[in-house]
Amino acid sequence: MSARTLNRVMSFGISDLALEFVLGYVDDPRDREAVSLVCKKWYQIDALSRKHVTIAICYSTSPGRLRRRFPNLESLQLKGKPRAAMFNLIPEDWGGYVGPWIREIAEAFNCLKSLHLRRMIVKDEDIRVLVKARGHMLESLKLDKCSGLSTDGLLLVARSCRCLRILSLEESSISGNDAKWIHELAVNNSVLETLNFYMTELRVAPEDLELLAKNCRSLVSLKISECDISYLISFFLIATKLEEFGGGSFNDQVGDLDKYMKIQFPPKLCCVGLIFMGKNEMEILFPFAAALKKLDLQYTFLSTEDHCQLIQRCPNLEVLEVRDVIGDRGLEVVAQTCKKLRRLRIERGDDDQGLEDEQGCVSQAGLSSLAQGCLELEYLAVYVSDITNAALECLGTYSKNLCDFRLVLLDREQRITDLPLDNGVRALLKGCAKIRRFALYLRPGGLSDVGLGYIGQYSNNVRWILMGNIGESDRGLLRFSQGCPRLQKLELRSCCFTERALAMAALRLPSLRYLWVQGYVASPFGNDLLLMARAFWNIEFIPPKHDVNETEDRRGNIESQAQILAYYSLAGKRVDCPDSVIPLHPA
Amino acid sequence: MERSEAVKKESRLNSLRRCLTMPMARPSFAASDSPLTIFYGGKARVYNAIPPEKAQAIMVIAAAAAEAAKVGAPAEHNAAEVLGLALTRSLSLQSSTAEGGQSTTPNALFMLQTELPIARRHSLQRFLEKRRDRLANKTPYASAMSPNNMEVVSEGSPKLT
Repeated sequence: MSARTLNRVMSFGISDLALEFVLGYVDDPRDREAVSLVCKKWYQIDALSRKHVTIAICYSTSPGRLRRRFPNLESLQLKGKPRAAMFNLIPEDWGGYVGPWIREIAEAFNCLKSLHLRRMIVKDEDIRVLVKARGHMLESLKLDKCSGLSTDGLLLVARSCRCLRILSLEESSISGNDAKWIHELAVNNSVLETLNFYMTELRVAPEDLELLAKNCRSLVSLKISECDISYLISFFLIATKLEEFGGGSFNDQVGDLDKYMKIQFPPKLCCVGLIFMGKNEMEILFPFAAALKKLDLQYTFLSTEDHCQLIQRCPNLEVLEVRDVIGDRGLEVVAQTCKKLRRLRIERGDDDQGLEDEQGCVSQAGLSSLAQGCLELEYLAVYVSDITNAALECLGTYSKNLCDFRLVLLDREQRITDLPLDNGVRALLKGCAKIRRFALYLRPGGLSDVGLGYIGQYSNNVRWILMGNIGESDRGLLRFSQGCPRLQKLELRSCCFTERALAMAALRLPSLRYLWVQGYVASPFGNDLLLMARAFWNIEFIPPKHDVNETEDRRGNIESQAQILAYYSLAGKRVDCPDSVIPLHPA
Repeated sequence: MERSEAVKKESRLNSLRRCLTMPMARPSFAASDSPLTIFYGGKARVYNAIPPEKAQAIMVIAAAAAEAAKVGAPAEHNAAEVLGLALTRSLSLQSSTAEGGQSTTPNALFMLQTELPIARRHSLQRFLEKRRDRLANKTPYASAMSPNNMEVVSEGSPKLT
């Protein structure tokens, strides 16, 4: 009897109870998936004991199906709109309505304590239904980049959810001008640990935050919308357990910088991100800069030199978020100082000359220093103005812990030092075997078909890929699709591939369950896309849009080319498509 | 059930109608010398000045409806006909005098402009807009991009110029 057969026979001798106990320790969703495939009994035990599910696109299944399989869920994460929505590329009414899910949760999910909704449309009525049924046991509610609700909805949450430990509304679009909900939260809750309404336009009254700090002695993380932080002096004195603070703002009245110098930050504060902070104000961080683990400078007014001055005082930094104003010089400082750095995001600053520091661009020099200096790096997202193969090879050599790599080549410079990046990309992927998420956005000529083939060949572990302006022809895409054995989600923008090649690639990639494309070569008679039509594969089409009502300025322009969205679904055709979305299959 | 299907089809047509009748903010290239010709119900209609992207969008939708009609039940077959009919109807809003059917090379017509500008993340975009507003409020009479402005911004306390 082979070893494998013996193992399977022996497992059937384990009692259900024992199996349940053992499975209770198995949390990883991939392990759980494997467990559920062994046999019917193991499938059932997994189904009844599964605690958390993440649904990457809410239309891939239905609330009823989820309930029938995992009735005892304690935690659910749902994602709605495509990722491109964060870049203003998806119509607001595209979909992702949480209503049907909330109704199911209210009726049937009796164990649910934690709900995380990302890029979904959440109405006040949905909140009302949710808190009526589950408010008494909800411990964590995250509305992450959602829209559709108002402060009335927040009031309902504040009044009914007394067990809430985590309330996050980051970057959600919430209408309404009153801050009553914070007051209600402060009055009704005493266990809140995390409150986050960073990057929202919600109004906040400092007295309510003080009340919150007094009543919720476990508050460790607070991220707010804009509110001059000189009004928060009392709050900071009361919130003694605070470890993370984000938001606030600085208002540059003439003189009177002293008011900011009077702020005494809580003793354990180690994660900070202050909006509109300038060179003079950043000194308030100096007393505890050495303790900082997380620093968000994306929304500050610091120059390259300011970044150098600040970061050189932060040897314990693990997470850093900046704009490319940090420059190669700033990256040099990071490389020398921040030896524990795990995550680095370098966002794109303003294009206009004069609004950003002249030294404010990142190139191969900065990246190479970074790779050699910060060996613990796990996540790197960077907008560069220039790049070479050597820099990518350097990352491949040193950044052995890299799991998530995203590079965008800006279109500021006419000439790039070293293109195509075929060899560098190959070296990077070969050297960084742990990469699971990979994005490469270049320009025509940035990566040849050979290079695209390399990505396919060396992306063994990669689950998500975003590519822009890469490859030369369909041949490259087809070569790519021969590899990437674990690729689940593919996003392509501004590429030169035909519908036929896209369809062929979609059929060939063995693990692909989600495809988003904008910018491609259309077929003469519009039927090549359907080559990828098959059972359970939804294909949606967003026709090109030209709306003269939307202001068309350099950065916000809404004119958009056609988009294709395709994904596996057990739920069949969407029934809630707006006019701007056309289901092609099922039609 | 039938009624809701009809409603959905109606909204598809509306979407098509809007797609076709919305003016172009900026034509991607010379609004077609090649007219779009549609044969339906034994008649031919020719439409001029349909931008290539819109023409392609029409064809993608029609092709998908035709596919669905092939495999579907009679209800779907009718739907495809309705859709086809409506395509004609909505296109007729833009039809002009038919010109002699000129054959077009598919390649020329359908090499859609594909180089798209890099999209900006919403959160960063809002921050940059707010920063511009603050700059404009502080020094409304200063010329747009001077080194003085930069100093003002990075130091946090304005030196009134």
